[in-house]
Amino acid sequence: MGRIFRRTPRQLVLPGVRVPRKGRRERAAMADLGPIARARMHLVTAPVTRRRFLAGTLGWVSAAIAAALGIPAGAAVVSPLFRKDEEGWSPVARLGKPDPGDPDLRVENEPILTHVTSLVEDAYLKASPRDAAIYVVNRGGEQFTVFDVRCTHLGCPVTWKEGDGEFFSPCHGGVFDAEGRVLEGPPPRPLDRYEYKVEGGVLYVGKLYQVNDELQRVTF
Amino acid sequence: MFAGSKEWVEERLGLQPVATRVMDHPVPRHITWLHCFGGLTFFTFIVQVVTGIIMAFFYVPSPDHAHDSVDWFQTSVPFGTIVRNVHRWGAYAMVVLVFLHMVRVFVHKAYRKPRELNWIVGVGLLMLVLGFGFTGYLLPWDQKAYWATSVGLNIVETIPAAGSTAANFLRGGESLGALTLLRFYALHVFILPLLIAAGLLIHFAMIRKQGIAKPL
Repeated sequence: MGRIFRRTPRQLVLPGVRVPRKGRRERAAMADLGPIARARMHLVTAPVTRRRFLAGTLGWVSAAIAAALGIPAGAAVVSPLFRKDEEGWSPVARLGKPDPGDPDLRVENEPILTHVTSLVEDAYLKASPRDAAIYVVNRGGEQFTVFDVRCTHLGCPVTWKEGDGEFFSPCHGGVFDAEGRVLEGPPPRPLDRYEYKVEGGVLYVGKLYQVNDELQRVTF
Repeated sequence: MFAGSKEWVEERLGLQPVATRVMDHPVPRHITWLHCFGGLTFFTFIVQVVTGIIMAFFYVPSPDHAHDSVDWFQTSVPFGTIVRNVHRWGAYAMVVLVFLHMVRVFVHKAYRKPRELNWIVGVGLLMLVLGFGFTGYLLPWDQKAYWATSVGLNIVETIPAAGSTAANFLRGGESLGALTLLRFYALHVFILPLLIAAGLLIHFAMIRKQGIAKPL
């Protein structure tokens, strides 16, 4: 041992931890200075020894390696935040006499509960089935309103109360009128809606969007 | 805002002597660059842990999705190609470095008394590194992975007496399939990392206790 370790190891100072070895008066004088002046004072009073230089170099090189490894890693994990699902048009039903199992869209001004299934590209799944429940209201003349079934408060499915002419959410008592406007309860905005189009006698739904209290579209 | 927070912790826990003991460790004079291979192996291990954890966020150990999830990670996730290839080349580098480390210890006769135990633990660590390589190779679930594992398990079968039992255990039955992939995944990300972490701790503790071997 003695041959190899000639010197006893000197005290190593953790970065940022100042070991109080100066007198109280000197420390009091340092306290009044700003951060840059204090750093300069520190450099003057504790000159750069070879040991400090090597410790600093080691620190910066370590930081560079950590960044080279950490930035790609962090970016990869964070990237799904900016992911957009591909949304296409999904068929609901024919406008005339419905096929078996399809809703009858000839009924006017009455919300009909049905659902659409679409195949969306979901990350590594090329065609993942997405099922969405909707209320379709036929306003006549190929005009429709397609409501999302989820309450705008916390997403519970609403049900159409035919006698009252209202949508009702059982979870916290949210109530919406036939146009989706909030009548009662905690929901912050009217029921969300889907874009729709009629093509070849078939009703399709597309993107989901939000409306304000005047039923104007606010998200695109 | 955080000025003085280190002093605050220091006042309460008094970590400075611990840090001094861990970091300010005197190194004997005869150390050469050849002595770095062990530390470099440990560095590649850290790289493998970081990149491996990132890929665990995207990988699915199922025959239906394994290849698609790897493919999607490489082509569609930002930096996915970099992360996966660092893991791949890191694996090669780790095997090469651990071998060089072993050769260095052998040539310097650093395995002799009193360091035999550390040599034995080191051999165990070498086996674990190769185990990582073997299990990780199957996970992308492409043709190369499938047939390499098939051949590897046939080699296991040639072990006298216990061979077919060992191979069937690793394979999860008599044919290579979904269970094989899951088993290799579990070994690669849960069991081997725990074993290697324990082994490294013992390996390093023994170096600290016994010091670096004297020059020849």
